Amino acid sequence: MADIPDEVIMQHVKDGKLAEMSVLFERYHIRLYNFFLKLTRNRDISQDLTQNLFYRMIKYKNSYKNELSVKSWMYKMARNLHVDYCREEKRSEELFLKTDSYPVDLTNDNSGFPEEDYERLEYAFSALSAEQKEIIVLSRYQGLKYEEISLIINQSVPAIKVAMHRAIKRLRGIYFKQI
Amino acid sequence: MKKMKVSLIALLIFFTAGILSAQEYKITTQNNKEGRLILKDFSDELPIEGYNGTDIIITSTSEDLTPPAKAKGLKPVFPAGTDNTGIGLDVQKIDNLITITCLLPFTRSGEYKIKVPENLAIELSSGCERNNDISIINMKNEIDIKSCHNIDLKNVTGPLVLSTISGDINITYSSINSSKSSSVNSISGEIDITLPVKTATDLELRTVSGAIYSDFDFSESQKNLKKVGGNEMNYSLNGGGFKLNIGTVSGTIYLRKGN
Amino acid sequence: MKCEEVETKMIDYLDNNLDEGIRQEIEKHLETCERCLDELRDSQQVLNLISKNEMVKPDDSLRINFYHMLHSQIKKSEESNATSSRKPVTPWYNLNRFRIAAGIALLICGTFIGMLIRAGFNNTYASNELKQLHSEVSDLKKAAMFTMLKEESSSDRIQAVSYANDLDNPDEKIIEVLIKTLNYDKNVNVRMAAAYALSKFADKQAVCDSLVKSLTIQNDPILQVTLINILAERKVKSALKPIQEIIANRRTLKEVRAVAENSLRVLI
Repeated sequence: MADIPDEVIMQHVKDGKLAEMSVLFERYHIRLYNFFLKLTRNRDISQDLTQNLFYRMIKYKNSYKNELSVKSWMYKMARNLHVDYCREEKRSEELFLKTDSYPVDLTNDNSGFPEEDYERLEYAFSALSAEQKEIIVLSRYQGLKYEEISLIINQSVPAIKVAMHRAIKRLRGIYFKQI
Repeated sequence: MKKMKVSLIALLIFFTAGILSAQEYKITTQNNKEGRLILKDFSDELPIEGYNGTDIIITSTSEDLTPPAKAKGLKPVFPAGTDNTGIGLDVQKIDNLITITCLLPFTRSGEYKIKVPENLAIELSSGCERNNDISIINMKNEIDIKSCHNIDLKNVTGPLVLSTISGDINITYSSINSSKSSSVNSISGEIDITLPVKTATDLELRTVSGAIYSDFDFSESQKNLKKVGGNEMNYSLNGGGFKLNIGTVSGTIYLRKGN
Repeated sequence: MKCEEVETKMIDYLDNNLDEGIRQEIEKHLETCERCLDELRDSQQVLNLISKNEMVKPDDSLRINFYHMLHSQIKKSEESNATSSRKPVTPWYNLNRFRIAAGIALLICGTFIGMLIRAGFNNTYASNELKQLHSEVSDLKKAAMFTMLKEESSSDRIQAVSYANDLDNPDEKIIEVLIKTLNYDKNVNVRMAAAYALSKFADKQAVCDSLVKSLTIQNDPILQVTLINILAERKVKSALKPIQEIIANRRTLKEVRAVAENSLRVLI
């Protein structure tokens, strides 16, 4: 099953074999959940958004055209869902700035970094703008290539590089200011 | 002529008084699936009707429980607890869990009718000493009954978890909430169930000495097990799905096609 | 190369994403520019920290809810293929996550895998992932069983017990929970379901013993009948004594006594 490309599976889903969506779910749900988790910092909301994403993939399966990879298409939808969520809840940046403790288990004993470093990083991250967070999440946390991100957020690769550079600059600025 | 008018008025007053003697008690709740109504120790017939509203409305038609004038400032005390409704019931509400306990001893007749928001789950238990025939109509959530007497359910969706000793169980489903298991058991009473004809179900029928009658077609996918203690039958209807378990010791099982 | 230019290329430099020529230019600049070197080190530290981030595993409920949603979507599409207008399926997102999670959906996970297999999914794709999924579902079922047995709703508890039927080789903990349910659940239907679930594993001596023991403490006639039948069927001799006691007990219901007497024919 690992060899079957996402696109073939998605085509089957479009042909009415909805059950095969489970393959895509198994492949991507953890990543997408973490995408939302980084942006919302809330487990429950991230679960809901992930769930909602797969629901939409089924509901709008016919809107999937082959011009994008399934992966990019998923992230694009994920992004839209997050934007909608922020709009609805009006809890984009103000909220993040207010919450400076991040209850998620970030620590990894073997990482060589003390826990405070992660806390500081989270704090610094929370101070970024929504766009900056998004780009860092997609590129660094999710490990997507600039070309993929370009398709997802509809910006040119050079523009993304510039945005990325600014985001990291701000992030490291806030991070080191705390020391 | 004047006399007649007076007597008419008297008659009117008389009737009105008669109607007023049926007391009503309301509990406001939410009509959602999270809600749960627990009914304990009711005697006599207890008709329960589901409706699309948010109040649990209990109507008491039993003997007047209004305390005498001398009891002013005092609360009626029953062996089973304190009446906080004025109609012989103890009502406790914690979040969406509502417990109503009938305080009247089983020797005393207490007639109640209850209207319940249709989405609440109902849990009802009454001891064998109480001659409590239960009838429930128009409910859309779980019904969980332990009784010794008759259980009559109409226009319900389940899931149903019912057990009785000697009473008959009659069930007419409106549609089926197919996501949960149902279990219906009796010792010596009859079980008569009308299922929607297209129900996708995995049926498990058990009986020791009772007979089974049905107009469903069991010719396909049937697995009959002849057992020491009677028969056990497993059928899948319409491809299978929701689990319905029906068991009796000596009662007859009727399984009918509904609409 | 100027500082600004180095700065914009810093991430690519750290990611090793640059042509050799540009790389060397940057390194040359860094040799002389302490400010840029500091920034580079800072960026590197932050990026390293990010790269050490580990993905967080979502709760099981995410998977469970997904399969539930998928199942209802499949159903819905089957229905809309059959008849054009039907009443809409309850949207999954209205359901209370915590209750539903453990609940309904698990059953569906199982059914669902069955469906996949029937649909020839197994042949089309290598079955490893499916197998893994299967074992995960069986873990989920176990987990769900434990949580669901704490549910208020009897139907949920029956459902939970029925998961045990799908487990091929239940561990001791599951057996223990089933026995506890058989003896102490407040609902007789749930206790009965536990009795039937346990009967599947009655070849284990411990299970058999606990069924016999349970017979001595159950006083609900439905359960007495159920247990007598299970034990008689397996010809469990040690059940003889408690069954005879039930027959001797004046308060035993006549239907139960009949079943008990009948069972003696097998046991003696």
